[in-house]
Amino acid sequence: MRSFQKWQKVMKAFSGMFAVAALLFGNAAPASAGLFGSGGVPSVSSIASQIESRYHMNLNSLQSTGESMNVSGNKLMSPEVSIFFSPTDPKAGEKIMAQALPMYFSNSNESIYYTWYLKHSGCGLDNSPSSDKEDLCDRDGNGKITVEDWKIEAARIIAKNGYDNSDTSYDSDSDDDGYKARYGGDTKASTPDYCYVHDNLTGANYELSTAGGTDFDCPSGTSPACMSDTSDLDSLSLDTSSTINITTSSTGACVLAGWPICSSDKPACDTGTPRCVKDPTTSTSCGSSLTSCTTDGGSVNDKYCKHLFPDASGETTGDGDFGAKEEKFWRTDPADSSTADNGNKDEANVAGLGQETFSWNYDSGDQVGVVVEGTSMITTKHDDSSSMIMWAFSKNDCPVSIASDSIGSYVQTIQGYSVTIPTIDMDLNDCLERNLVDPTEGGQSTALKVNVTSSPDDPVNDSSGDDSGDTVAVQASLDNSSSSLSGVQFDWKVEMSKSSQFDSDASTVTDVTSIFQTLGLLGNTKGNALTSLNMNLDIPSTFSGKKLSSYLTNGVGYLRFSVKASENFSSGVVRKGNGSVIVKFVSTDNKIVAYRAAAVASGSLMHVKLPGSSGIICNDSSLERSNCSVVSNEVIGLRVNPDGLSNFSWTVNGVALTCSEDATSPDCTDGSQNEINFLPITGGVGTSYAVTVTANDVTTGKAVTLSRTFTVVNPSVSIVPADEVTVWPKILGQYKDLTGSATECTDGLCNDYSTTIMQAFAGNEIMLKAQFTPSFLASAAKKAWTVDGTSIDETSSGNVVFSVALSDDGSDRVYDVNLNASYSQSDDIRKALYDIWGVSQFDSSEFYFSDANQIEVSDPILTVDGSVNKTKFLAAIASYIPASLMFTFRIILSGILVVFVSGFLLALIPESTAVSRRS
Amino acid sequence: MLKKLSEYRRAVVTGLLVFGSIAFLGLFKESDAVNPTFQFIIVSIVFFLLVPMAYTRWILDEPFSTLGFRRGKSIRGVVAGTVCVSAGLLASYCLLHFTPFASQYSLPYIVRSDFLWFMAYELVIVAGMAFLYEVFFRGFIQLSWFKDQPIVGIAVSSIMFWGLYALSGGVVWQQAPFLLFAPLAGVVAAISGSIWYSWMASWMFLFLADVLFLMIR
Repeated sequence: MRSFQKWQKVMKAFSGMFAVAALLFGNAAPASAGLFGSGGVPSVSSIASQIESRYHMNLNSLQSTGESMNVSGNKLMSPEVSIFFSPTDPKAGEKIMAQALPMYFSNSNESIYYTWYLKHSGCGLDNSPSSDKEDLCDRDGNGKITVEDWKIEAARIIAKNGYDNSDTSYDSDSDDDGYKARYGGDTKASTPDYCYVHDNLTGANYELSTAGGTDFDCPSGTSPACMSDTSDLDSLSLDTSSTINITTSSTGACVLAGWPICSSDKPACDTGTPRCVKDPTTSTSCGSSLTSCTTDGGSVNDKYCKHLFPDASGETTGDGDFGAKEEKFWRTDPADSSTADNGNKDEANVAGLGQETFSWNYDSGDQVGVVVEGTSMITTKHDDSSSMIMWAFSKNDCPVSIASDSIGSYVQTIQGYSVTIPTIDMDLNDCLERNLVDPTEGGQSTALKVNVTSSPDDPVNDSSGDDSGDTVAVQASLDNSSSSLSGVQFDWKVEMSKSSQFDSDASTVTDVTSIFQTLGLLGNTKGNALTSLNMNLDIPSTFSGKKLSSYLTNGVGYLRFSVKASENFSSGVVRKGNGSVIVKFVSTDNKIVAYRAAAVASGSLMHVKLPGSSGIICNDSSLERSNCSVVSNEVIGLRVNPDGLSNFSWTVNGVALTCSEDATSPDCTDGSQNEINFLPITGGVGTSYAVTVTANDVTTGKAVTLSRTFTVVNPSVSIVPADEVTVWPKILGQYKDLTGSATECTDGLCNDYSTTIMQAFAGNEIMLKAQFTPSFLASAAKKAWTVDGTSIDETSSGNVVFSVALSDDGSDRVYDVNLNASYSQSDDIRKALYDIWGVSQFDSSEFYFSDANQIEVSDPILTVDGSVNKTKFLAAIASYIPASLMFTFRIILSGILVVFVSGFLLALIPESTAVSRRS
Repeated sequence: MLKKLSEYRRAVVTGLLVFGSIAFLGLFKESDAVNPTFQFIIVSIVFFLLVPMAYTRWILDEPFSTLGFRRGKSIRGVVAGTVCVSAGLLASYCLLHFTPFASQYSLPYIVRSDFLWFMAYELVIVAGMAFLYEVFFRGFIQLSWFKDQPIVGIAVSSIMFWGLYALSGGVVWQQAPFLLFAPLAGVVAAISGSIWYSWMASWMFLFLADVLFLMIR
């Protein structure tokens, strides 16, 4: 505005100067001959050029200034408004606040009118809504869903501000809370009202007026428009007179440049040519020529302004009268002039005076908008103090093309000049729908922020099958979840690649989620509240037809753990988010090998050294390799394969474990650690030693970390069958395997064997052996076997063998087998413990332990070759008959025998003839 | 000799059977694997009941009435039984007062303390044992073996009865009622010619003796 006035002054001054110069020099031509050269009347161009030269005025600059000035009227800043929401990601039922920020109004924010409108989901515009929709959305009860219903919905929330009117009586209204609204803002008292609409396309401002209704002579289906043809720039040059020469050629297409007005029955355009065009806002056609028009005339008296306030049925908001009927409609308190308690009267609140913010309980699908009425900074052309009253929409989208047919103008004499005022007759409510804003626009509410972390930093994969690899723990966390984690579903995916560039086209990335689940390395990967994922790095060298080496570069591979989180709401809205972390791992089958250290003399001291491969301990099973059982006062030698590794660093339970050639062992080196170390077991039963060695790869520099655990146990021994064909543990019964891990059990029922009773058949050689814990004691411990108190020697293979003959009566026998063992360190090791680690000889004493077992020996039922012994069979049958029944049977047999014998005797003795005669 | 043997073959063989049975019973050793009471019951049933019945029926080919399983002289049986029971009770009374019978004789605690158990004991156990004894001693020994010498039969059966207890573990006061009424039962059986009356008399005597004992204790 100010720049326009400035340019006006400049041009006035320039024009004045030019006029003066023309008068002076034009009339005194002869006298100026000496001043302007010899003879003749100078041309205007030369005069102007000389003036420019005199006052150092550059033509191009002036031209540029003039060109800008020509269009400066279209560059004025019209009022705008922006809406910001808090929170930006509202959830259903949550309170949300919309903040309006108006700009380019001349009055303060507190004095302008904010007409908020709120559209709920399912309350779209509808001239004949269903009864359900009417009940839900029709606020003014007119049987239609219009923008007024949206305004009323918002205005009620503002006006009552949570007031509960369920018990309110609206029989009377005593609070005097009416408010008289003014056009352009509350501070515009006694100010002429000229209401305008700004055309964003042309920059023109149209006065709201019913005047200048114009009929343009355009064919049906077309609309009047000012169209400019588009041209291609052919050449651009500067001649010697500093004139820019531009040559263009027409492309044949046109663009909309504005709207024509009708002046003296002729259509006129400030820019472009009046044309009749179909869909001028989008058309590139130049249409047909528009040559005539007629206007209804009109004058400044046809202007109008209209508030966009929501009205109660049959009432007008902002008329200064807010009676009981309106109190009831707006659900305000008739006894409180400011039900919202914000300092404004109820009617002022309904009108939206100073209502920069609007808060409501958000529901899914809600849309909100605001139209702000105030006085702009643009002055009118009228000869008074007026500035343009304008409305700013939330999306600044209110094109005049909505009412392009009503564009017209009238001419008013202002300051003695005929000034054409462009007009338009337009209902601004038609722009409300296109200015609705969705608070969730941009997807703010749908994005879950997922952070994923992992540990440890450099995990090691064990491909040897011992399952001693590190466990990678991956953890996901959500920053903006609106509900508890139990309502969030997590879906994990694991990918493996030899490069950390997983998204690179050059990378071979494999989704290994299901493969690793099959291998038992991964657990569940999908579920609610599944915020953590653990993976055992025991990837074998070959899996599912793939080679692990194809995913490694110098033993280094990468795993990417991705997670997708989704949070569902009952309204159907889904919030999603994802995160990932890349884990670098080293795969190796190198392990810490444990030895039972041997002693070696070093001068007067005793040191330790690694024995040969025969001294390796805890290497018979993966269980032993992962957790090695040792006894107190043992010295464990440790070694890793040094190929490709250097810079060894040993720790035990996090504390440095050092070994030197001078103090500990000739296998170590002074000054630095190497691949060998020694661990004295000085702790008590239950103590655990976590030994870790870290080394660098000499070629790649990668760090390899290996670990092994040693646990101190009480030495123990068990008597076990050496040959389960001849002697076996007694079955006590069966138990049901609930874990499902016992695959050798049929139908989940596992046999429960006794650990103290064994069974055998007589006639066989019973072979037993000792099983030690730790197992390496088998070669070091002293053993003494007894069977029923009688000593028995071991065989060369370390077993005890004894035979049990068949019994005479087939009865079972029980043999008591005892094994007493003792173990102690050698004197050399004990001295080494003292010389190197200061362990007193009195602390390294002997261990005594034993085991006892019973062997139930019975005669076999079946012979070895499979034939059946009848006697034994009957005896076996008899052994299973109850004793009472057998007793009864025997007594009955005895009775029968007695009777039989007596009968036999009677038969033997001949009957007397006299007796027989008598009988 | 053979002639004599032939003449008395029935008695000889029966006697052998009796002695054999008593010897078996007396020398019978209990098995540890079977309940002693069960063993006693089985042995008693077999040798006191089944063996005599089997011998009488299949060896001697005589009816069971030979063993006293007959009606006999009912009036004599009832009268004799009553008199003998009375005499027995009188003798019991004397035992109770003049001998340590009262202190030595005992009934199982549960029998002494619970009436139902007492009745069960008297109706089942005492009656059953009395029946078995009557079948063997009065029926088989007295009425069958010594069917022609009733007095001898009474004496022999009583002596046999006493001998059985002596062989099996010695005579104790616990067995006094049985031992006391043995000859009296023999008298009843001899007079009535039936073991039913001697059985009822034995049972009644034993029952009343226990009652008397309980009353005194």
